[in-house]
Amino acid sequence: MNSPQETQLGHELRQLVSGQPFTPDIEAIGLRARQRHRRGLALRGATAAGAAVLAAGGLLAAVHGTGGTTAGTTAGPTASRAPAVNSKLMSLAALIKARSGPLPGNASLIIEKQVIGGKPMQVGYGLYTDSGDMYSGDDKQTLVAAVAQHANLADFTNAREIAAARYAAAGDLATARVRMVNALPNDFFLSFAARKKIWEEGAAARQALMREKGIKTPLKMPTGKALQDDIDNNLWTASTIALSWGAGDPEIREGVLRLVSTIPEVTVASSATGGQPTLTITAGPAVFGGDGEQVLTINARTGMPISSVVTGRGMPTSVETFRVSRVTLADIKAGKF
Amino acid sequence: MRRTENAVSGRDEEFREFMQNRASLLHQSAYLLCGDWHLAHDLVQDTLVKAYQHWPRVRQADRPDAYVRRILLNEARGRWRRRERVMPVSRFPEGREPVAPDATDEIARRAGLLQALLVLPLRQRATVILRHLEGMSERETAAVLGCSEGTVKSQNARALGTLRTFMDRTESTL
Repeated sequence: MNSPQETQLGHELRQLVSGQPFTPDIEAIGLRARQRHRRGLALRGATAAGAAVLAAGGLLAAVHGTGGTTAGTTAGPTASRAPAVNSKLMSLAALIKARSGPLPGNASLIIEKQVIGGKPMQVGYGLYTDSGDMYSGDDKQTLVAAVAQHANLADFTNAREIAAARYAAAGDLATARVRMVNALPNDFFLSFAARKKIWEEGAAARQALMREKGIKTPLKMPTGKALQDDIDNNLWTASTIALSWGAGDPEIREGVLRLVSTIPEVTVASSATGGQPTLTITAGPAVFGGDGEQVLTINARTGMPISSVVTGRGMPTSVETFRVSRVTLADIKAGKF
Repeated sequence: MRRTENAVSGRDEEFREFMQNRASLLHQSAYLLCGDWHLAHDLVQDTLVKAYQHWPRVRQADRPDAYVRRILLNEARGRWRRRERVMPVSRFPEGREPVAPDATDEIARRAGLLQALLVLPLRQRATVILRHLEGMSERETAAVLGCSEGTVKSQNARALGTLRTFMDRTESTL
């Protein structure tokens, strides 16, 4: 039996969501599901042949786009040229490599606590197994349930992000950049004409979205510095996502640091956090479309993420803190963590 | 080849039938989870792709509806992990700052409720949506969230406590 308040809440919620019809396109859903299945097979096959990394910039980029905005098979000069690097991050990456040895356990667990505007908001448990599965929950119980139900969140994008980070640890950095950028859908490396065509095809949908969000200034297709900033946004976002899952694996930390070191709008400063030496990595507003900033603090000896602070966009400050550990899947299943 | 095509066609038909009366509610729930219709659309599309992929398992589940909602929640959690880094508070609706509930302005009032809902932790928000939008029982909600009925009760009570400020404020101004 619901209370009057609950009854009122139900009524209010139904009003809130009324008037938004939705009809799923079953054919498109089926097609996407089958494509995803085939891509998964392709990736596994390529991995078995030792060719997955080679495929990441080409084959994978060519198939993962949405709404026709696929990445091309050739990298543009902005991403593929030999990048300038931040020496502090490269030095730390080298240190991580030198110290790496056999890893305990068979999975990385990262617990994130988020505070927004000074108020505790969320706790997130993320588990990345060495076999590539990803599970999440908002407490121990839901994480255990997710593992028990095999509610694996890993998709093709995650596989690309992790693969690009691993490749970056030892491979050519320019190639690694392209692979990480291409982990997320984009049209960056298509010809100008092809990008323009896609931009014009999306005009109606874009205008509808702008109307809904109250944006009156017409958007222009990014070129030049704006395009480079978009590329860097993909690189930063995909790299930090890889870190958010795989921070317990030194190879992934090393690769991510090498990749992030190539972003011109990222600055690095030595700092101290809770008595330990840290590096403060700041991705400036250019990485976020001119508004907003993210400051990632990592341990200066291990590269382990400690916190992330996001400001700007007229929103309250978001602070996330991380606790990273290596665990065994058996312990997680048994709730021993 | 023909057998595969027939199997695919049969799956499409079953899936379409299953989703016919459910997709809209799923879409509405997704909106209340993320606070943006476009994100909600993406969230539901991704959920349905996963449900389609695992259709044999979904249709044989004790509670297929609960199974699909678990996928939706997992997708939402995944989005949270992904999007936080670029859009840290993307679950807040656009224009959050100037919005204040106003009895004379239905749109602002609804935005106020959405805002209040979106500041709830994900699990409490999901509990509210399943219980009060979808009309699930405590037992059904527990099955979706993978927790006990007692936890559903406590999550619901905490959420209502947080939302009470909004509810009281709107009632008092009506």
